[in-house]
Amino acid sequence: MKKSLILFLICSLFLTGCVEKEILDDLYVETAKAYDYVGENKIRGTALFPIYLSDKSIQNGTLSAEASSTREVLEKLERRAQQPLVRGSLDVVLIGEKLAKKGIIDIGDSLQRDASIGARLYVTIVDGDAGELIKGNYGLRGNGTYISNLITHNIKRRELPETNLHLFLFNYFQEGQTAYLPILKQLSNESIAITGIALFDKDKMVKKIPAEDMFFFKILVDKLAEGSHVIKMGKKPGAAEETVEASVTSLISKHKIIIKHKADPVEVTMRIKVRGIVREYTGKKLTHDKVGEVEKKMEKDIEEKCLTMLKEFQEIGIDPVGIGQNQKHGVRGFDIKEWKESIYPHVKFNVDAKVQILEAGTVE
Amino acid sequence: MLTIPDRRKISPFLVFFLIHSIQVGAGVLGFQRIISMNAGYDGWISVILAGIFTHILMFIMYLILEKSGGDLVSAHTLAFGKWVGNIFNLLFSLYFSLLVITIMRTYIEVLQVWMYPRLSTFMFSLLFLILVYYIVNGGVRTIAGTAFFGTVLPSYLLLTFAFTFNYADFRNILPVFDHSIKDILISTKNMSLTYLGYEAILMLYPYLKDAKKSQKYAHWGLFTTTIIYTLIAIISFAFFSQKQLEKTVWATLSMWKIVEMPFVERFEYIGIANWCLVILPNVCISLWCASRTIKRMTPLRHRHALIIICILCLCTLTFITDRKQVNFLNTISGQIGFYFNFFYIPALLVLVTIMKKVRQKK
Amino acid sequence: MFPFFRNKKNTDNTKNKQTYESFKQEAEKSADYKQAFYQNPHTGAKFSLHFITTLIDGKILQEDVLPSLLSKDFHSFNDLKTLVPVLDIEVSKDEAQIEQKLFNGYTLLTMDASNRKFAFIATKNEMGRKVSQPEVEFSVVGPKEAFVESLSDNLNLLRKRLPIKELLVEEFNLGKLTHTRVALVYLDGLVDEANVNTMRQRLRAVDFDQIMDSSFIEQLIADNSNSPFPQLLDSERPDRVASVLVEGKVAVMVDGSPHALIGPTTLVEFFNAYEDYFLNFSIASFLRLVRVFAVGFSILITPIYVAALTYHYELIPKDLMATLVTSRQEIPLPPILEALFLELTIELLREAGARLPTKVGQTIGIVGGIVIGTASVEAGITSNVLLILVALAALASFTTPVYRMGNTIRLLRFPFLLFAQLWGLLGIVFCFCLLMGHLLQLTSLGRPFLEPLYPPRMKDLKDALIRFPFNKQAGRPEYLRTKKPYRFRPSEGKKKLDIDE
Repeated sequence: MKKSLILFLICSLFLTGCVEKEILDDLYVETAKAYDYVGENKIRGTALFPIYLSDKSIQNGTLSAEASSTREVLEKLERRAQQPLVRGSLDVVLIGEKLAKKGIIDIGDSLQRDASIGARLYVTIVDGDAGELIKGNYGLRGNGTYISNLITHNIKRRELPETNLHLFLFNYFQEGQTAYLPILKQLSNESIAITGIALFDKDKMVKKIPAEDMFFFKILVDKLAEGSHVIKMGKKPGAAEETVEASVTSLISKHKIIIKHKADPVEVTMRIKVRGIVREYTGKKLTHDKVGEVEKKMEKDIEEKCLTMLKEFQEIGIDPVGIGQNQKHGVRGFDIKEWKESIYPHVKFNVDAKVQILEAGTVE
Repeated sequence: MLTIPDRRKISPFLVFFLIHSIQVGAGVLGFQRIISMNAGYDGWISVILAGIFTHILMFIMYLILEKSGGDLVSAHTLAFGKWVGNIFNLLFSLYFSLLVITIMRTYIEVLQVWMYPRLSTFMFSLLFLILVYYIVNGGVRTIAGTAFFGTVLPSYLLLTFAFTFNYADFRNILPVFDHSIKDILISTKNMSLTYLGYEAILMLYPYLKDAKKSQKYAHWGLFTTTIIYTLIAIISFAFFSQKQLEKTVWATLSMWKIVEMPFVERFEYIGIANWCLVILPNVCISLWCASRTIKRMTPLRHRHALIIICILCLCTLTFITDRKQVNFLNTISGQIGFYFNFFYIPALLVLVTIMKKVRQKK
Repeated sequence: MFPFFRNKKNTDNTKNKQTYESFKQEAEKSADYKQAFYQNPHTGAKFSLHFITTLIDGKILQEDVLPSLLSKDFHSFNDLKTLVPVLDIEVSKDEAQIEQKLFNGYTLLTMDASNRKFAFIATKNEMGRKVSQPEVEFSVVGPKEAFVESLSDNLNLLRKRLPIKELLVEEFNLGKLTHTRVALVYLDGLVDEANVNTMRQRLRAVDFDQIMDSSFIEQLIADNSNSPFPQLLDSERPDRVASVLVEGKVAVMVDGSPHALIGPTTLVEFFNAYEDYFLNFSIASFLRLVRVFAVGFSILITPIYVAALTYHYELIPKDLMATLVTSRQEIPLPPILEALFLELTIELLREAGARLPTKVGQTIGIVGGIVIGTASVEAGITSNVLLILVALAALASFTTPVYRMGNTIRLLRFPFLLFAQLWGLLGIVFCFCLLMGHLLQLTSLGRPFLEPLYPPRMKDLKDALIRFPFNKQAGRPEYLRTKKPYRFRPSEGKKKLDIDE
């Protein structure tokens, strides 16, 4: 009696206790997704998945479909796919610029709600058509890996501020802060470039920061920033058209937001400290005085640029730096509505930069 | 007075693991949203407050146990007499069964949302309860061993939260005390479900060698739980913005989404699978308490009481199907636990003290 | 063979009442029972010798017994001891002893005059293996003596390492048909009486017809015979046995078996090779940790492969994806069947290699390993990644110094595989909980099996998974509850010298 009970138990276990299998080689594992705006209430979604060939090379496979929401797009794509499409390994989500201007929180929500999608994936805006960009053939290991590697190393060492799905949603939901995302552009069928940063008001894209100003934005936004900047130093003696240029790479840049919370109007001072090294210098000799000059010129550049940027943000009504949030830290009973309507437009900004050049390379 | 042979007793410092492991259950996976509902980002104060209350209650419980010289059943017999006392014993047994059902169903729900949407509740509960039966069959020593391993082995999970520091802003919790005392107290009450479970000491007391020494370890266990919960709360608040947290049902699990290690891309599957080891002691201890209470009240053997309670839990588990019902289950358990701890236990202490004096006079 | 003779307890007593005549009748049926009749030419005393030719050493009879009995002044039994230069001569009247002594290599000497009195002369032919190197517990450094099949030789090897009077040997006679001599060895005054009593009680309760090896005893007296884990450690090294006796354990040695049983034991002891004590403590600790890691790896790696490929593709790092997918693309089997196929092939190779004679066995091993493995990858039945993993796991399971534990680990892999197929990573953790529950309830001679991990004993952890140097191990293991818990006094007040002092 007992034995037959155990046998019955084991049989029923294997019949009903099983859960759905997702065997690795029977899946199309999506590594990138692109969304474009094609008309009133219609978006086009393109899924990118690697097809592994037997000589260990990777081919990029894509599938496109048009529908009215992201979920419907997925359904339509499944009907065209040989193997099930799974989103667990999604690395990059590309959103066309037109769609970005209409609002992208639906996409964000669907990415957040799905339990199998990680929080480290990159959301980017594409200057142009995202579907076209994703269909290119970049690198040897698949487009998804190419794009995500491109963004990763630019965040780590260069001028792209830290960004991923989690940070995007964090900034979107945070009171007194708005979100920002990188912008990519397809240069040819084999190459892409980062061309700037998109700034959002709620979930609609409103402003673009060009690539040459990304360094300053990164200093304002990131906790520890690296990246490099070329400083124009004035005319070269002898050659009327050329300017002496110094390229400074910052090793560590920190910023501190000091707010006089109770003052009227609220005063915000951005204290920026940059420690860097000189990588290139087109003038004659880089003596100590010249280094001092470079430092001063850089400070001036930073202060001017950052102040301009902050004022622009204030005018449009966005706050990617998070001034509102910083104000909340010092004031009890913070009212976000009051801040947005009456206080923020009148905030006075100061930028105070300090640059210290540590080394200038192996020659003088 | 209960006589338990010495070879069935456990040493006092194992109480630390028992208390700590029965508290850390399924509540810690999603408590951040609950406390931030009323107290916002001051919720960590509620966590500490609730922890302090558990210390006070534990102290009261030890007083009850010392005065009644045994376990909860002896206390009930002393305070109410045999028949009325048995009613309370039955209620207590049902309360622990409710805890078992709550923990198991919450964990199965987590599995069904995060890992296997088609996991059969019945099958998993059946196998899990068979495992629990096997462990409880080994007695208090085996259960204490499960508690020990259920605390020591998953402790590395705490280190994984270090991955969130890169993306966290600890100034999120400023300004401190931005909410009224009333809000904070409401959050403290809502927090109580996550701290429940230490009432098991009421039935475990006779099995401790040198019970007086064990009180120190019990308090250490509660303290560790409080510290861990506070840390997790603060880290969650730093990691999520407030409106984002209000939408995130299982904040602890969502934090694991950001963990990236060289040999695994996504850590949350490992964390959730490991959580099975964390809730195992909870279910074992609660089932043991429930069935032991029944054994002490009725002439039933402990093993048979255990089987009956397992079958009851299994049936109830299968009937709770959707999110709403699981939420309801959690809320009810929290409320019952709260009233049981905060009102019934002090009342019991008063009654026991009075009855003891009365008996002594006689 | 086995169940037939098990429950015949009562017939023993009747057999003892045998008389010499009835015994002679039965024994004469056997071709090697010989009776020789002699008469001393000087004194005229007639005597006969009865013996089992295949059991005795003929030289003793020819050179020592017969010349002295035939040429010297032999009248009666009292002269035996003065005349015959043999150590063990016993004169007795007890007829019940005849069968036992005769079949143990003694020669029966009777004189016609008094049939009731006879003498036993020890003429046993000691034939057995010489002391050689250990087969299973081989060590690179250190003594290379191992036990042999003869109990007396083994006790000799043991006694010469512990030349003290406290080393007590209690003998039992187990096995109704085999009458095997079993010795219970312990250090009196040091060991906990409870341990000895438990062992003694269990040995006395053994009721079986044949005891061929110490492992029979181990299976009969184990706390939980259903468990695949061995609950008594076995060792063929006399230095290891002497060492554990000093720690306070109890040893059982069986005649005819080169393995001694040691108890009570714990799980961590099965990962300790005796060679660890011959090496520096840091090297020894490192090696122990490597072993523990290897065992964990061996049990878990194939289930994790199955779980990750069947359910959790998200876990796999991107760089590994290409290799895994390309290696699995042509394979018709799902990961679980692939894994089972490879595991069973390895088991097949192992069993076949163990049965074949050495010359053929080695070739098959190499052929099997390399050719079958490569061919199956080419044929598209298995993937090369899994082949490497399974081969590594098989290798890793050989790192346990105790052979019995290695077998257990071989077996443990399969439930993990099945649960991994059922529920993925959750299944693996669930199976681990089952294993943990089982180990928690296991006891060895009544002591918890998972000591010093649980109940946690800080002092015993010094010699469990890592090994502290000898001067830090001043105490004997706590779970043995010995009467003398300290080996030596830890030195107090050692003054630390300053630099250049």
